[in-house]
Amino acid sequence: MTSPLAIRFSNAVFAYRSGPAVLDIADFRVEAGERVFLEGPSGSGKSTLLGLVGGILMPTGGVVEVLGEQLADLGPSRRDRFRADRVGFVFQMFNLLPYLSLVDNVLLPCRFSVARAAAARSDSESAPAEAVRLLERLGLSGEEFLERSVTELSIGQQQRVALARALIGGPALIVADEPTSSLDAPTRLKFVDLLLEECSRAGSTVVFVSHDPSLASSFERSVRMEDINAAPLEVRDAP
Amino acid sequence: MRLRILVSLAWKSLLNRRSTAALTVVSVAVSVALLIGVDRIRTEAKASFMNTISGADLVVGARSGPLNLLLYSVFRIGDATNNIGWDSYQEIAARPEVAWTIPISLGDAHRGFRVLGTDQGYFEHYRFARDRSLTFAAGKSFAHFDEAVIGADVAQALGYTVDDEIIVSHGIGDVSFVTHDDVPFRVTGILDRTGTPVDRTVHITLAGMEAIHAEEAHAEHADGHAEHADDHDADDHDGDDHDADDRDADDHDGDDHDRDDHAGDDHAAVDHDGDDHDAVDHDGDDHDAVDHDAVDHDGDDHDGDDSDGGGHAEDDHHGQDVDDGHDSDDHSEDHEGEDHEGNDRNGDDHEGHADDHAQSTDEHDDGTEVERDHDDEAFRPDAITACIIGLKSKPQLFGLQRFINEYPAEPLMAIVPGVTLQQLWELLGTAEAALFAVSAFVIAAGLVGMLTTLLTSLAERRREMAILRSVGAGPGLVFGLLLAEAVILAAAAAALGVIAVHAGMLAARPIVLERLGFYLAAGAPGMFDLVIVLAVTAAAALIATVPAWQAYRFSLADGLTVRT
Repeated sequence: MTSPLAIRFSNAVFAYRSGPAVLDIADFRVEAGERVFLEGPSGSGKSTLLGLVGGILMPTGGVVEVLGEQLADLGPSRRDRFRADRVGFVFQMFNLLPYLSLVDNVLLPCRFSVARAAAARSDSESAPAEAVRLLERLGLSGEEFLERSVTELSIGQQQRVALARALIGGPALIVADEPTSSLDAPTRLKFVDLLLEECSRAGSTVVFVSHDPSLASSFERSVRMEDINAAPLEVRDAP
Repeated sequence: MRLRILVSLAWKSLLNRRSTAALTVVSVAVSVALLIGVDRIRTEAKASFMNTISGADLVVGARSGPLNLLLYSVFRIGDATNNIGWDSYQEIAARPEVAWTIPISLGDAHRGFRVLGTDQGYFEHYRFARDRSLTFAAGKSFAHFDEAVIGADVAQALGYTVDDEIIVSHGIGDVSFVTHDDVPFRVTGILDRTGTPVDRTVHITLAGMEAIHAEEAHAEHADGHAEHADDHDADDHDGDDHDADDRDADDHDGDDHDRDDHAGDDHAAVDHDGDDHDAVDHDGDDHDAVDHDAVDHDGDDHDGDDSDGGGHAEDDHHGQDVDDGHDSDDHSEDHEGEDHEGNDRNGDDHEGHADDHAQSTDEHDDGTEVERDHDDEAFRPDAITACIIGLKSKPQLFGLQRFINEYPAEPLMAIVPGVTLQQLWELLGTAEAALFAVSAFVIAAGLVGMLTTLLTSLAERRREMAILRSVGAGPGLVFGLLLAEAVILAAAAAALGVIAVHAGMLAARPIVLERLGFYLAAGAPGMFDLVIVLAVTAAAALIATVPAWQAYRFSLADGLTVRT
């Protein structure tokens, strides 16, 4: 092992209930600190892969190792804590809880993870201060902005808040699931750049999932779902 | 820490959906308020009911059922099957263990309100609502047999004030079949509201009660009277005789004066006298004359009013104790006749008169004595309907009760009012339980409404669950979140319901006291309210497991992304 692996799929199979396998990955590795672009149309098993990485889904066969932990060996609550401590997620849209303020949305992982709360405090004088700092770095500054309701933000702004949430406390792995698909083209590129810049500052591994190949150029490595997933395509449309 | 996150998230989530949440809270709160309100009213009604009579140790009446006795004696509902003989009453009242008695004579109505004949003991000894005694809102107690004390409802419903004249009819119907203006009573007092049947009662003296009975009989033949009155004028002795007889007969029929056979004697006397009718002034104002007599007997106050001539003469005789003078001066044989006539009429009013006079045809002494008796309220009716007894000491209760129940002279029954009230309340308990069940079902409906709201919100909140999962929340937290929301909603609703009821009762207290006469012991929420709040909250938590379980399953199946 030359460098530690952030993600390792080895003969990992996943099937919903007793149905056919929707994911069958013989070998897929992401090295620590690597930024990987994972490309595939919807229904190619991306969501399932992310579920396995997040420890929310368990492989029905084979090994899924994330940041050195084989998640299937951990109990459910340990897996939840692992996810809270080590992984930051950004989704396609509706990333935010409408009833929380911007800062509270960003602080959400710190509520569930002592480690990330501590890390956030060490980055700034307090976790909320770190949240505000991250939002400012992502172009969401100003008092009037922070007090606005989440639902009043544009989608681009919402995605940046979601990014700040994924970044707070510096998790080792950032997983972005189509974070730009709701954005228009110029915003899209700006968002990807921002994401990569902040992740490299934090030294986080990035797995960026998208069906838009035009974004692949920003990443060190690009992987196509078809190439790693051996499960037949017609069954991959998960229920 | 987890719990704090849970509650804070649930709270903020609810705040975000505040209009739906508020509606849910209000609907559950209303149902809780209903339940607690029903319970409060039940409690208050029971307290008020149980407090209808207090401080009384025994209620005595003719032997029938305890409930029946309680109903007619205390609640003025229904009628007695029989009476208590006056002698029996006297004997019981004279027992050493008896501290006080209240005689009750029922059977008449004034515009739908029961009329109750009693004595001063009623105002002295009647207690309700633990230890409240009757107090006067206006005026004072009755002193004479043509005076009445009315309850608050009577005064309010009929708009009576002190010194108003009211007419009492026989029977208990709202409208008497026979209308007659013969027995007017003057309102001397209006009682403060009690929240008991006292409010709906017209109280008169026992003598007054007898007067109604006599007059009632009289009135049935009012027409006949009028005609006969004319006859009198015409000096038709024969006709007069018949007249007189008629009236006597009336007495006998209508009232319990069956033992007035002597009245017949009376008239015999009248017959003897023959022409005295003229002198006695029978000019159709028979009734008036009677009234005046009655008034005079009481306090002589109407002496001044007596412009009726013949009638006066008589009145004076009766009113003042100048028998001798009368005898010597005025009382020729004819006068004697007058007197009898007069007595006769009195007899209509007061049997006692008739009796006494009949027995001692010429002896005015008797008559005057009787009149004095009137004034003293020691008037002797033949019977009363029931009586309420207070004892000197409680341990004597059962001894006296046995004595009365085994009273040899007539079949009597003594009940302990508290015990019978309890029995009566238990009889009503079914309705009470039904009411409670209904309000419990309303709460169930409220909670089902909440369940619907939670389940409906679930679909749009699946994404929210996924976000929470992504930042490290376990499915247990998702489960707990929904449970917490339900608990917060229900607890808030229950608390709101309790507050609403108590605030409402506090606000309604003066109105209830004034209108219904009982004091709403609203006060601070008690144990029952706490139990209800807890029970509603627990029930909410229980039914919230349904959406919570569903959310739990969603969050497991959805993973981090919601497929929609």
